[in-house]
Formats: sequence, structure tokens, C-alpha cells
Amino acid sequence: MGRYIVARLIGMVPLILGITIVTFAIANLVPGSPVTQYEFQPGVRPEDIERIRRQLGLDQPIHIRYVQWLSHVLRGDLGLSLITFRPVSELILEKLPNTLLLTVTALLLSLAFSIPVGVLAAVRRNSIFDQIATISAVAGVAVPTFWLGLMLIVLFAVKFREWGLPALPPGGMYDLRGGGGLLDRIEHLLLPAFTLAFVQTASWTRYIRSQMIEVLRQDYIRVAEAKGLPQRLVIFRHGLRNAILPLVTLLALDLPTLFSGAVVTETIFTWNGLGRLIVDSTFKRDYTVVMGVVLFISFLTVVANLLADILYAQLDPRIRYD
Amino acid sequence: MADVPGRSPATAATIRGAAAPELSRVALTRPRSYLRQSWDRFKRDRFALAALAVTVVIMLFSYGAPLISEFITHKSYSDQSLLRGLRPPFTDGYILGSDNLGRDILTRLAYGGRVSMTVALLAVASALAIGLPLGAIAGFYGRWIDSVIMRFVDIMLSIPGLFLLIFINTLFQVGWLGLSLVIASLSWMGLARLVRGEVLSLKHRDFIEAARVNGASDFRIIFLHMVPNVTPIIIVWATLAVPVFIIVEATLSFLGLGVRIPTPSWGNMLNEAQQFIARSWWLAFIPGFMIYITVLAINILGNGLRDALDPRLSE
Repeated sequence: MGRYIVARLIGMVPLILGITIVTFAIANLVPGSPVTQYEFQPGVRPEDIERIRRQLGLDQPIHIRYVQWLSHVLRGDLGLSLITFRPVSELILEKLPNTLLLTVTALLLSLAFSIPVGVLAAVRRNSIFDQIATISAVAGVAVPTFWLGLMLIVLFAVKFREWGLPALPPGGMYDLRGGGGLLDRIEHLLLPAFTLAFVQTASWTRYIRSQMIEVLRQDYIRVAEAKGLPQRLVIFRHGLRNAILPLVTLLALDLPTLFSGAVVTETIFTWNGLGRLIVDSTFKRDYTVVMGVVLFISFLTVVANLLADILYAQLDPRIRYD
Repeated sequence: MADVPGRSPATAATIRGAAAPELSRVALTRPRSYLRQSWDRFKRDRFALAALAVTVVIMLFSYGAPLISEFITHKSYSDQSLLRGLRPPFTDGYILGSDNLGRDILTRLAYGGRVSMTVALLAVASALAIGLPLGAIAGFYGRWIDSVIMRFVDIMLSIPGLFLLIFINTLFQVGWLGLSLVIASLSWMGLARLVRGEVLSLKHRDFIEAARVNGASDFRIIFLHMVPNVTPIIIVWATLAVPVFIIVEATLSFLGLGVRIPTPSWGNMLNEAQQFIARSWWLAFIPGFMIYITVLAINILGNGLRDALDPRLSE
């Protein structure tokens, strides 16, 4: 196991280098350079421009600039925001907890729904429940996140208020007028978390159902039934445990989808997380921030994949890597 | 005890005698082509047939946008009428209502569909043009070429696509043509992996060896002998990629980063509708619903195609 982890860590190095090269290359494809803006300003002499270029290191060839930039990135220095001049890493760490709160809540919601529904659909295969679950899963995967979010706002925030029903807030993270209690936070979290969880839930229900059907066909399930175990124990201890193992991998693979969903959800519900940070920075052309978030999310994806593989090996004693 | 030597000739004779008329009938029916077989399998799936019909209708609606504007709504997608803004459906001659500038929603929906569909289809074509040769070359030549291409695939897969798209859109102003190329350049990796796997399994088959013995060039072997064998997989991939790209385009346009106004697309119609949802919820409902139906129909169509073209692949 230890050797496997070390091997995987070493394997991560070219991947992370590759990610930085791609990101750096895209940033350098942009026509013009940071000094272009000075070239047409009256009163700025050519030797001034030359001096700024030297100070910014722009007179160096591109591979030297890459190495210099990389050494900063590896030390956690993602540069300064072009608008607020605050360190990008500080901005990211500031917004990260909010995004994590949203994504983790959505994740738990998804699991809390998809596992029981998927298991029940698999156990009662071809029943009416199974058919409804399967059809809703197919119909649910196709729902665009941004549309769902808007429609939920229309229904629960706008129409409910019009009809005099208890309405949910259409956005924000807490009530600005002296709110901030736990209940207030949950109220604000409900709609965005549900929106973010929706599509994931549909695809995971399908996945757990097919996985469970596969497991229930195994010999050890027949043995468990034959020795007279109650059905509940057969399904949960012998069936479910084996069926949800691959979910660990799926969770890691779906992480980018979840973060992409968070971009949309945070924008709709004005949730102050990483997704809004990157979209807002885009409109301000604050490209150091955008680049920093892209790098950060990519690193997170790579690390999550590694953790999932290790965790999978830990949970499933049949898997041996060395 | 069926295979007792003494009994088998008799058994064979009876079969021959009894089956003779059957056999002649079999000889009379023409062998069904692969396409025919697939279509027969596809026809049995009623959901897929319905999805095909819906897809065709949406295509006609989108690409018939100029006709709809000319003969049904009598308005162009940019005709404004500020005094008649935010009309609900079926009022003042607006079949699906009007937006805040008094523009006809139905007309804009058709033109928006044309843009969304074109971006998605172009992106699929471009992704095919990148992923197919790269996957085939990686699988065919193996060794370091394979490693280089596949490591590149790994790298591209570990950068979340939407974030990279946002990044590129921050740095460059891309039109709808550029948008489809950018989407394609970030989504060919899955296809390359698929094609590589197939080519690997075809590589040592007899007909490939035969072609090589006959002196066929690598290029000929890859594109004339291998690619036709992976066509079903490519068709399924391409079909299922269309809804994904429609969602990507709509997401970007919804965030205000994709197709720029005044050109309508389903995504930017939703973006514009956002600020009026308290008053005119249908403004946001209609384009989103179109996206939903389109994505759902093409998803079901793609699953049906997968089951029909390659029964091995079905769940």
C-alpha cells in the first residue's frame, strides 16, 4: 500500500506540470502584453517601456518565464488580483469554505436520496416503483442546472410569496438585516443545494440501481439468502456495502461536474463562493484570479482522484495494487 | 446419449428431410444488411422512435427560423417595440409572448435554436476531427506515441472543462464559430480513449494483417480498414455529445460568456430573462424548456442508437 501511494504521488508530478503548462500556454496566447497599454500613452518614453518590460521579466524567453512563474505557483503564490491587488490565493481560501458548504450539502442530499431509491428500485426490479424511478432518472439527467435554479426561484421565492405561503429567499447566504442564525443559514442553503444536487442525484440513482442489480446476482448473496439471513441484512450488509464501493471513485470523478455546477448555482443564487469569484473576475478581466481558480480546481481534481483510489483500495480488501 | 455413433446418421437424415422446404425459404430471403438489422432493432424501441421524431421537429423548427419569421410570426428576431414589452403568450399577436424590448419570443427561440444547434454540431464535427485521428494513431502505433498522446489526454481531462472555457473566454473574445472550436478542443478526449481502445483490439485481427501483407500503407489501414469498424461507436459518441455541447453553450451564454447579444441563443435568452423572472416567469421558462426537451430527446435517441448499432454496448 505504501509503495502504491508513493508511486501514485510520483505519477501526479507530470500531470500537475502538464496542467500548469496548458494554463500558462493559454494565458500567453493572448495578443499583446501587459506593457501594450503604455505604448500609446503620451509621455511614456520607449526606454520607460523597456524598463517596465525588464522589471516584469517580459524580456526573458518564454520557457524561463514559465519556470519563474511555476516556482511561485508551487510555493502557493498565484499572483495578485489585477483589480483589488490582493493575493489570489488569499481570495481563493476566503471563498473556498462557502463553496465547500454548498457542494458538501448537495453531495449529502444526493446520497441521501439516490442510495435508498436506487437500492429499492434494484430490489423490486421491474416493479412500478422501479419504472418510475428509472424514467425520472432519465428525465432528470437532462435538466439544465441554470434553468432548474431559475424555476425554483420563480416557484419558491416569487410565487410562494405572492400566494402568501412561507417563501424561501431567492439568493444570498444569509439575511442581511441582522440575520445569520442557523435557521436563516439553512433557509438560504436549501434552494442552491437542491439545485446543485439534482442532476447528480438522477445519474447516481441510475448507477446505484445497476450496481445493486449486479451485486444481487452474485453467489455470496445467494449463500446469505440460503443460510436464512433476513432480507434486510442480505440487502444492506451484503448487498449495499458492495454496491456502493465504486461510488467512491464516482464521487471523485464527478467532482469537476460538481464544481462546474457550483459555478452556475452560485451565480444564480448570489452565493459568495469560488464559482462567483471566477465569473465576477471574468467580467472584470481580472485574469490572474481566473487563472488561479482554474489551477486550484485542477489540483483539487487530481488530488481527489488520488484519494479516491487510495480509499477504494482501503475499503475493498480484494484490491491489491502491488 | 444423443451422440451414439450409430444413431447420428439417422438423425441427420431426418433433419435434412424435414428441413428441406424451410432451408429453401431461407435461401430465398435476402440477407439483411447491417444497417437494416440496426434499423429493425431501433424500430422496436418506442421511446427512441419518439425521440427521433422530436429531434427532427426541433431541427426543422431551428433551421426553419427564417421561414417562421417570414410566414408565421411576421417579425424578425431583432424587431423591437418598446411599448409592447413583456407581453404574456397569446397576446397582441405574440404567440409565445414578447421580451422586455418587445421582441417576439417565438422568432427568437427559432433563431436561438439555430445558433445553439449549429454550435453543438460544429463542435461535434471538430471534436471528431481531433479525437478520431489522435485516438487511432495512439492505438495503432503504440509505444511512445501512445504514451505522449494518452498523457496529454489525462492532463486535459484533469482540468475541469467549464473552468478552462471561462478562462479562455476571459482572455479572448470568441464568436459562435470560435466558441464551437474551443468547446471541441476541450472535449475530444473521451472519444480519443474510445477509438484507441477499439483500434488496439482490431490491430491483430486477420483482416488487418491481410491488408498489411498486401502492402497497404498505415494511413490506408487506419482510415479504410479500422475506422469503418469503429463507426457505430463514433456515431453513438457523436449523438450523445450533441446534448452535452448544447448544455455547455447554454451554460456559457447564460453566464454571459458564450454567444453575445444581439444574436439570440437559448442560453443568452435565459440570461436576459433572469432579471424579469419576478414579473414574467415564462420568459425564463420557454428557452430553458426548449433546451431541456432537446437534450432529453437527443439523449434518448443516442441510447436507442447505442442499443441498435452495437448490442454489446447496451446496459
